[in-house]
Amino acid sequence: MKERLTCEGITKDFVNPRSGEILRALGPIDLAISKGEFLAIVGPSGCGKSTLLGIFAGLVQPTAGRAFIDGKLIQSPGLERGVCFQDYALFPWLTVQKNVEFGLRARRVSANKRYDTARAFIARVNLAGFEDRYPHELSGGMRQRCALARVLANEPEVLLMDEPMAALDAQTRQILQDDLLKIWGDGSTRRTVVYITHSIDEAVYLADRIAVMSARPGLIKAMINNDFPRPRPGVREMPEFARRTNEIWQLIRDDALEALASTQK
Amino acid sequence: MTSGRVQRIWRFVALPLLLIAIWQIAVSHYVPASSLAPTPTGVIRGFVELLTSGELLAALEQSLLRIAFGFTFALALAIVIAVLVATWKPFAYMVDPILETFRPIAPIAWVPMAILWFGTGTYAAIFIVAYAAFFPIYVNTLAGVRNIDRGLLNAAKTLGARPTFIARAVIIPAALPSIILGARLGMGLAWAAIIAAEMTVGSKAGGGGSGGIGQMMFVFLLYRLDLRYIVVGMISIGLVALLIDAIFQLIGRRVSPWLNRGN
Repeated sequence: MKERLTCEGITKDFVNPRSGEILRALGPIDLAISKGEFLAIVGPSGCGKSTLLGIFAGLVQPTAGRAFIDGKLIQSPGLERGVCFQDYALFPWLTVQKNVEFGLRARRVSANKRYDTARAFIARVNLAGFEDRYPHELSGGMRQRCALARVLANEPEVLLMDEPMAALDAQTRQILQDDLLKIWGDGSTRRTVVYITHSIDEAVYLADRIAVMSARPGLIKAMINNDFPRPRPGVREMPEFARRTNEIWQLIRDDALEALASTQK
Repeated sequence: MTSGRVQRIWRFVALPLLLIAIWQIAVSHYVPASSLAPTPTGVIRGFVELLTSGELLAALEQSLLRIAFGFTFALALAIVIAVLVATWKPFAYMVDPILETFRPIAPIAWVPMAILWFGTGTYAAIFIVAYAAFFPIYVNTLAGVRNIDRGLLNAAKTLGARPTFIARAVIIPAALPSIILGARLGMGLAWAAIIAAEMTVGSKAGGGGSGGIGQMMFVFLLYRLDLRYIVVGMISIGLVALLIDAIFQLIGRRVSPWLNRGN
């Protein structure tokens, strides 16, 4: 399969403003993500997984190393890469309709086309009927649906998702996970997804491959081939599901406990 | 009219009525008749006189126009400069210290300069008004732009927005509640500066209404020593400014629906 997103020797250092000491937060990271692949990245808090996603998005410049999309160097955000944020980042002064139209308006698509396209994607994420609501009038799940529609309206080939369901309750999350898999598509029309999560269960349910990260510095500790057959409605009940979830937990447990301890210090 | 409405109106007028009553009693009982202290009844008579002669409305119209021009100019300039200062570091280093140096200088201090630059008349008055209104709008807009959620800017960038579109479609709307707060304060200072501003209009208007409300008050003080008319001027300014502020608050609620869930 063709490689869509790659990175070589990515690192990110931060300077401690008080001591002047240089801290390596991330890397070096090498990754290759195929066209149409769903890659989940799991790791304890503070492992730099969001930073890595920011580098692919073109929002964060790495200290060293390079990231590529279809062989082209990533230097800034691009329309072929849509980004979903954990806090949704919806514009609070715009209705659902206008939020979804935002990217089209930035590209000067005509008002009629904008309207129709936005309607279609709002329906696609099951938010029809809420077009005239403001974000503060929506539940968390509906806000994330709106954010997803806004990204999809630009028809990106790659979806970069930064813990998009972390703030949702368990039931909403499961429903949205299934909707996301539908939107992901099938066969040759599948988008490429990089999905950051701290939920192992979520990663095993959604992904084709799972990159397991360690903390301080953030490194890819293991790459797990997560080849459960699709569609996966009953996969959570399979003993292999529990086994794989546990296997990943064993990999990150020490780091997770350490991360927890350092926040309690 | 519902009883709730009556109650609200009553709450609105109760304190002013009480203060006016105290004022009337104080002046008529405790101040010698020879003094110039005006009474509420005298002020009301003065108000009627100025209103029927047309002087008051003509003066208010003049001042309102000067304020409208000066304020609009200040608003546009303050927003553009604040957005540039907040988003473009070299510009901030050059411009912000200069503006902060000018900020504490009172508008009235500029009267001679304004006359020197613009001559006596409306242009000088507009300059003083714009100067007075500029700073609160600038300071508040700057704070508003600096406090924008970085996530919104990142979202806009990943959705394909270019810097000018981000400024127009994200930065300005996100900072709008702060801009409107600055505009409310700026409008208040514009009215506060109207007397200073209309000192520049000079006596060519002859002390009549057409010099504006500030000029009118100034002339009544200097040439007629009639404090009643000055109080009429004060109250008129207060009422017009109150009305304008109410309009701004209404606009503020309209443009930031996410900020007033409670009411």
